[in-house]
Amino acid sequence: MEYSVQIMSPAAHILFWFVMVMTVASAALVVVAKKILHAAFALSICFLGVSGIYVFLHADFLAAVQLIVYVGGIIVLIMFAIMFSSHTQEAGGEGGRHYLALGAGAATALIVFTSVLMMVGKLNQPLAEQNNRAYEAYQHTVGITAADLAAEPQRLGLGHMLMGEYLLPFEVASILVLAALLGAVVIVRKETKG
Amino acid sequence: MNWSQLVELLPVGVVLAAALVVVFLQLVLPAKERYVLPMAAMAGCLLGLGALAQNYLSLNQFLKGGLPWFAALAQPSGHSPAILNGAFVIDGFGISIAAVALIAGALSVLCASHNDDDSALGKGEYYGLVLLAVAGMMLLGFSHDFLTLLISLEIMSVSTYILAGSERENVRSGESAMKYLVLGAFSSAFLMLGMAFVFGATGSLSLSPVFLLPNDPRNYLVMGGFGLILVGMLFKVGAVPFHFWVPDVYQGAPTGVTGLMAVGVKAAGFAMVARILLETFGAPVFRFQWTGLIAAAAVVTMALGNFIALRQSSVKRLLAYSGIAHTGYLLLAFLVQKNANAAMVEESLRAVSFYLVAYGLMTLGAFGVVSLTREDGRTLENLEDYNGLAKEHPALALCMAAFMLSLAGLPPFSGFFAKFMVFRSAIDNGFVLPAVLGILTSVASLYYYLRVVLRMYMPEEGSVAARCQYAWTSNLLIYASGLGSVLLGVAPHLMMGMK
Amino acid sequence: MVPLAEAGVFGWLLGLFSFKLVSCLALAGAIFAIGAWGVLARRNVLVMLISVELMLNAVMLTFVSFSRALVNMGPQLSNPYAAEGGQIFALFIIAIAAAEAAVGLAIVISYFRNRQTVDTREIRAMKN
Repeated sequence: MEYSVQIMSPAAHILFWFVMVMTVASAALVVVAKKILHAAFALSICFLGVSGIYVFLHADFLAAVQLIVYVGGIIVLIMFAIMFSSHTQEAGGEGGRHYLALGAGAATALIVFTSVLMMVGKLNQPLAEQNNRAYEAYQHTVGITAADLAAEPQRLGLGHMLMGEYLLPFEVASILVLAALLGAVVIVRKETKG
Repeated sequence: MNWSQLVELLPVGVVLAAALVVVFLQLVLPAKERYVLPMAAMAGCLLGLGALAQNYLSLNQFLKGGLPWFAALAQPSGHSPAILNGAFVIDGFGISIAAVALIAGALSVLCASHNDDDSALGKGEYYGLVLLAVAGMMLLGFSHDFLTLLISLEIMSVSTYILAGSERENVRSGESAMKYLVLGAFSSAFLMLGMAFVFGATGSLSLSPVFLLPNDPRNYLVMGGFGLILVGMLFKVGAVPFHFWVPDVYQGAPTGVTGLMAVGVKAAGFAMVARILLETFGAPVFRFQWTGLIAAAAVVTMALGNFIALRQSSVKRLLAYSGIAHTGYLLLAFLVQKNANAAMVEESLRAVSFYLVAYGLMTLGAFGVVSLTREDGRTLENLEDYNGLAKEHPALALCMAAFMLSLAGLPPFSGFFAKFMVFRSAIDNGFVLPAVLGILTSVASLYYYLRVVLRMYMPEEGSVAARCQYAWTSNLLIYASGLGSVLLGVAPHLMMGMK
Repeated sequence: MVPLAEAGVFGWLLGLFSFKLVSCLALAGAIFAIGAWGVLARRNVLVMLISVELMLNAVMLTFVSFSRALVNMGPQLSNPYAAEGGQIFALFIIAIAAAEAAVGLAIVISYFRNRQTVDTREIRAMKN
């Protein structure tokens, strides 16, 4: 059993590669763009591309959430921030003294990317045996028995999981959003005392 | 899922409730009655501590003294510390981390309560964010899967970013927030990518140990994931080579927030390090591979932190570098040899807990004194500002001297015993060289701690006398931490005897 | 898959990218690397924050790819939670990214009001 075996029509294949190339290109544009507004536009294209990849990976719900939250929310937020600090539209080029930073950045990027490539190259092996062992350890810590497992349906929908198995992290995430809301409002508010 | 187990997270619930109450009170109370806000926040911290103690005692009684110190070391036959499907664990280690976080939160509240002039935030929001950060730290101490761990970490970080920038008119405070934010988010991204790789290899989000056959190709994935997670974690605890953000962030942030970062954030960071290193990657085959890295990081961190601290003129910056050095000492405790048994690992983790409590008390006290030496709404943080403090405020100077000597690791104070336990744990596990280097750097550190003490007791000729505010709340807290430092130093079994 | 020594670099890469999972992981690695480069090399705090958003997107993509790979394991998989755990994690990363973006941009705007700059070369009030 291979890690991933997927049969796609030739058209889907072409589309897939188009989206891939578009995503990488726009990501690169984000970082090299001279004007910060251009970087933000490139970022929205990149987000669109990633959401397209999600569709290919059968994660439809995430693709929609990606569109709504990132393209609809975060990009708008970033645009606002750019407008507020508008006279620095110039994104700040790399002055001569920053060869060190440039080199360090490029080296990090290169190391991360090649190691990812090397690692995924090794991934052509069955997964199940390993996964079973990890899951037995998981069962041991958590105290789930085989009977509990048999009672569970085998595949749960995302919504079911979010409202069942992962309800607690979901609630904890609401604390995070509360903290962010409180903090963001408080730090940009003009009048503070009184 | 057994929702009745939520009761065991009651201390976190109490702190969260207090946060909401404080923010709400800020909205409804008229200005002259806002003095109840710090009281409410303090009450939240104290109630949280009470709930934590009650939790600990009742669990210990229920389990006949067998509450596991660390979840990964729990006997398979015994009581499982995991609650809520393994999302959290309630063990002795997590409880000690939560206690440190609550004490740090209490200090941060007190520091803000006595200076009305410079914090741009409404007090209610400030206290609310402190309590939210504390709740994040407590949750991080108890987290037992990657998802809850990450969310707790972010609750803590997001609140602390804002708190660091809470003196909005102060350029340094904004700069501190900005640096902390960019580097914190950057390191979180590395942490998350590492988690993604480990998930890809094991298919599980739990922190339970990774098992792999030596020839399994997914070893590469786990190794890469481990490397990324290690980078993220060393960033968060401020170890060399990822320490460069610490001095600027600590110096620029308001002093109370610096105390919260130096103690609470560091304790929670080490909770994450302990859970991931000793549990997820705690299998002997992995331990063999990371002990060398951790030993190197520990040695470089102690050496560099102490060395740069020698030439600092700002007390806040000095304490920041001293904090880096202490991160190095703490990392020493994670050096457990390949074939160590559960008892030895538990001994090391007890050393970590004791160190965090002792370091927490003395650092909080020291930052408390720094926050009191202020004039015209501005913190006086240079060494010269401490000239002759002993004459003007003998009790404060005595406490400050105790904190400094304790940080240096001199015998009657808790710092000595904390360092002793850490070095002993490293030597027991066969890491003699790092431990010896630790002792040497610790002797060298005496120089800069004594500089502060000498300034207070033997002022330079013709210098301006030190000026200090008086606030009974902060003074009370400083005396309490001084007392605690001495008490843990002469009677360490008070905490270690819980076994 | 053919080992690197036999196929040569080009053949090895070609073999690698014929798998969808591997292509997606490589894409994620590329986006992450570009984001990391942006944070380290650029001097505008807003661009740095945008680059962090890129990195978080790459992490999400990695999770979703692995999640899909685990689903493909199908009946061999004994852990019913594993498959969608990755998507759930990605969902939570969206929440985290949104929170970080909101707080980060708020801090940047607040700083800009004080100093009229968001260039890291001018953000150095503290020196040792």
